[in-house]
Amino acid sequence: MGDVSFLRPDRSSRRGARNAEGASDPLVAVMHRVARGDEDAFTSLYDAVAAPVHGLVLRVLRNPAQSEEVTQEVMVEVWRQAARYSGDRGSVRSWVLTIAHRRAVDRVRSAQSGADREDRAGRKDVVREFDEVSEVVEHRMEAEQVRRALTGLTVLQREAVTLAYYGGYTHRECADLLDVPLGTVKTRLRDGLIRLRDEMGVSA
Amino acid sequence: MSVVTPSGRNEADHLDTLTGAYALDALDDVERVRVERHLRECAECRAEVTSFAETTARLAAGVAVPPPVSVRDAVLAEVGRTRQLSPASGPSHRRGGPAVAARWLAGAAALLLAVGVGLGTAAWQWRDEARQAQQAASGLQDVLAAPDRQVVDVEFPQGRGTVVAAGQDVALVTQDVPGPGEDLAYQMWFVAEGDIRSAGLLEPTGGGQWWAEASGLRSGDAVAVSVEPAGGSTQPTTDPVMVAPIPG
Repeated sequence: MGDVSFLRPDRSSRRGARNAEGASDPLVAVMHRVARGDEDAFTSLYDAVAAPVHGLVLRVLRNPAQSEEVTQEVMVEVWRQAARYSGDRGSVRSWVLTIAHRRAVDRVRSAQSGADREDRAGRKDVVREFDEVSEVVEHRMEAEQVRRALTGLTVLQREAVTLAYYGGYTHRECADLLDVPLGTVKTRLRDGLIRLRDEMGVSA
Repeated sequence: MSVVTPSGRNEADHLDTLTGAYALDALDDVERVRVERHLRECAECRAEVTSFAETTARLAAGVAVPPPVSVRDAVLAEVGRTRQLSPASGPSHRRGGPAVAARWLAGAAALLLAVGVGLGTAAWQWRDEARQAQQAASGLQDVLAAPDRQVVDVEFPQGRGTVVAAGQDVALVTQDVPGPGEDLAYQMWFVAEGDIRSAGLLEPTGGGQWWAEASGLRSGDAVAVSVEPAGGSTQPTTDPVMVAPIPG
């Protein structure tokens, strides 16, 4: 398993790939093996992406038991759909995390009883909560980078982006919570992401 | 505020302002479908969405928490008994216009392989529920009671269902399938190679159940369901949420 260690998420190689993530993404080769049904390759992929997936799902859902369930569903889905990954869609990690976010958000929105709603209202704290940085050592650098990049946004951009991404709120809910017009939220979500992207050196 | 899109097309007007909300999964289903339609035709917006996905991936890495080992064990065990989908015809937003149907067909064909075909099992129970729910629908009754009926258990992204086919007639009943979203409908299709025919909209029966019945099934057709704008489409505009091969 020569390339397993190459994939360990604590390698800083990912930062080197910052400007050409799709092209030099070491997970692409693994993904090709996964697509051919290679379970060992899948194990490597799991170890490389499970922590961001789970952290994200946990952030959106808040409930640990549900989050474990969704993380499991997401990873099995990644296995099922492996052959559908294509480099045009960006890096492997962003593809996986797109699946994860959508799945978490679906879960939140489909299970919305009144009580859930109340519970979710409490999630407005997500805005202030970025201080709970990742405990995972290998992601600490990224957490630091994210924190810095978020600081570079305007207050409204930061609140809108974090409510939508970490909170799983729709743009309408964001507009209600932030008490601004829907059009403003749409614009802030986009220009907020553009600024984050540029701050973090993601190629456009 | 400028309304000129990168590609300068009218219909797209304000869609480019939705790329951020789209990348953050903050849109409702109607808007999401519209943006996806636009993305198939607009390389610039597509590139922007891809760059946003790389950006949000960093946001996720910033809050990474390793799942318990039990999750890893469960995933690896489940993967060992989970069949993979075959490759789709390409990235879902690469092609435009009429090619959407071709992509959809290719996706449906791939899914056909992945959907387990089971006869009977839990279908009995749902069929009984369907029978109660639809006393008035005599056509459905006929399908359900036909001696030569075929019963296929199907999975939706959420919930499940049963397709019952007898000759040209098809009935579909679901269980625990959530609504398609505001201003959207579930539409049933008959799918053959190079040919997709509408089989009408699914109707709610309450309690997370949807049903549809239609006539016109041909030998070799699969039955599929997709989410479409309210009122339905002449050809599917989104990927199928369910595909059921009809044996024999």
